[in-house]
Amino acid sequence: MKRIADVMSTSSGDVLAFVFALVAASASFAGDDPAAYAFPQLISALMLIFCGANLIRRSLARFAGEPVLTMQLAGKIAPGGAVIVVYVLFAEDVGFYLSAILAFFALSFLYGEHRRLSSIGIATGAVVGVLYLMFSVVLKVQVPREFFL
Amino acid sequence: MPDFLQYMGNVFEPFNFLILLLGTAGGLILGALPGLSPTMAVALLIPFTFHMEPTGGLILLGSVYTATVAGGAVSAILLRIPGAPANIATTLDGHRMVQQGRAAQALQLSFLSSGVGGLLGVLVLIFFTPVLAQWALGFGPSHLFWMAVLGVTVIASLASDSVVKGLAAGCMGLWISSIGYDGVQGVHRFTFTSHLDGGIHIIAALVGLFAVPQVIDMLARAPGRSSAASVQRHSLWQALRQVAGKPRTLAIGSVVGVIVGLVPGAGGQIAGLVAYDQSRKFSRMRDNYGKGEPEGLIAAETANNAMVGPSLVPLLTLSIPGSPTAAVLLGGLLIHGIFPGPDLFTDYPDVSWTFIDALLVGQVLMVVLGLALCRLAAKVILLPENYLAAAVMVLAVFGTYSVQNSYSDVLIMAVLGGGMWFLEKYGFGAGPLVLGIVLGPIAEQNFVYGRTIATAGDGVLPYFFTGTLNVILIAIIVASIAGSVALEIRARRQREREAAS
Repeated sequence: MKRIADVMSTSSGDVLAFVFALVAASASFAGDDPAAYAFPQLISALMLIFCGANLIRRSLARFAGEPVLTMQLAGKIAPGGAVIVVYVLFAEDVGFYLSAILAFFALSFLYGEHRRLSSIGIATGAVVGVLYLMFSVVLKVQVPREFFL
Repeated sequence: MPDFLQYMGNVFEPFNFLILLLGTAGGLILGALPGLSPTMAVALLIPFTFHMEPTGGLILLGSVYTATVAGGAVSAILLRIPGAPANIATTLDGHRMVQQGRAAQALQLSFLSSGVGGLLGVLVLIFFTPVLAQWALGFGPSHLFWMAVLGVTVIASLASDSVVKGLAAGCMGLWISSIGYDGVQGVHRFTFTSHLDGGIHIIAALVGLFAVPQVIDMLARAPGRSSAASVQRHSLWQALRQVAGKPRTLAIGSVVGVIVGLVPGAGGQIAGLVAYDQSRKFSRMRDNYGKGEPEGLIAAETANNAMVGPSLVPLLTLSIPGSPTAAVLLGGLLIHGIFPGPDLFTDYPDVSWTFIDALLVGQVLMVVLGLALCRLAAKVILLPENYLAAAVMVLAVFGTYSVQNSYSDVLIMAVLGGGMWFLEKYGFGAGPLVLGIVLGPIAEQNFVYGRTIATAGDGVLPYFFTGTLNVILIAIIVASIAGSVALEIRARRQREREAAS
């Protein structure tokens, strides 16, 4: 399996931070109300200086550093990341409890050592049961329910 | 007989004591749950207290406030997810100790030092209320602005790979805090989507930036168990001796906690960080900080809890909340028809002194129940990581949603979490970013007020950069950054020497 150098450079996080600072500064200085944007302008200018200094420091470093995001790592977290993205995007439509059951079961199964359905089922029921007691019974939070409860 | 002793008997009336016991136990559990902050716990309980007598209601709110701050250390230590912003510094050494198989010791040290700090804080509340309230009232917008900047710079120098990355992350947090409706000028800023109209809520940010990267890291390690195999029992007597053997760390934590607690608006989140930073600078073990050094944990937890009592001083005497949770407590007082102010102790001596006495007794209960709980809590990390990751993820979604019943908060939480996981891989710390988001509104509000005052006076530069208190605060900020840069350079040179040899 190829390592991170194939996916991203060792300093792509520093580049991303600098790009974020650049976007923040552009948006702050494009604001049409000087009083309302004074604080964001000051902060984004400082952020740009620090992110720029970090990028310069990184490029001058004698040792490039070990790769941090390898293909192996990306492959490992991809299924879980997909479950989390789908869970967060559709929990409101599907209902919080049903989506929590599905997400908990999927994550536990995908990353479990033995993948015993009965154990995962019991754990799912226990966790969602505690969530129901805490949020719906004790705290009376009105969570989106849709298909369940 | 001093007033506070005169009303001590009320605390031990069966109903009041039962409320205190339940509030403390419940607060410890709520505090330990990631995403359930002390502010949220107290706010959620206010409707429950509406049907109670004022004394009982305030005892419940006060005990939950105290216990959630201490309980927040449990998830900070075991999961590296602070139960509240105040517990950010606790993660630095606390979670390292767990990774080294010293979970039980970390939890014991945490509760014992919390007890020391908490007792001292309540004693300050009892004895120094009138004097200290006068001092804290002297803080103007420029001082509060510099206090907020100090909070960000302190953590920036601690929680990232380098000082410059920490400062950049702190600025990111400050900038993100300005997203949404600007309450001072009345305009919407940077709301590229309707989900951002309400801005970034602190709970969504806290859960997202701390919980989501942790979930992804757990998935990356799974299948497996977090350092469960190395969890061992630890002697309570040994932990007591260890805490008692650190008088300097306890003193630094207590003094910092008391001072930060007294400053209205500064909140408790920076107490632990400032104490951690100062303790590190004065310690012979400074190189071990961040690597599982008990001193770091003791300093942070002592300060967090020493802050609680003094944060109520300006609230009870001047109606100025010293922290967000104190602001919620103010609401609790008002719904019972009790108006805090200089006359509080003459108009309602029984309610106010019983409330303060309950806080004092609550500190002892908090240590006893906390130590009992920590044996159970340490078992949390025995859970296989796939279950833990899945449970934290669904709890993060429920906890975030429950704050404002807003699904936008859930989406913001997830986006911030994903981005933070990526940035963390490149050495940017979540701590500075979160603190920037927490302190951003305080910094901006006081920046704007200060600018308005300065425009009518001598000008912006003299207003913000002159005056004894301003100069002292700026000097502390500069010294803090310079000290951290010096430590970073020294550590780098040492690494290079080691590599060369």
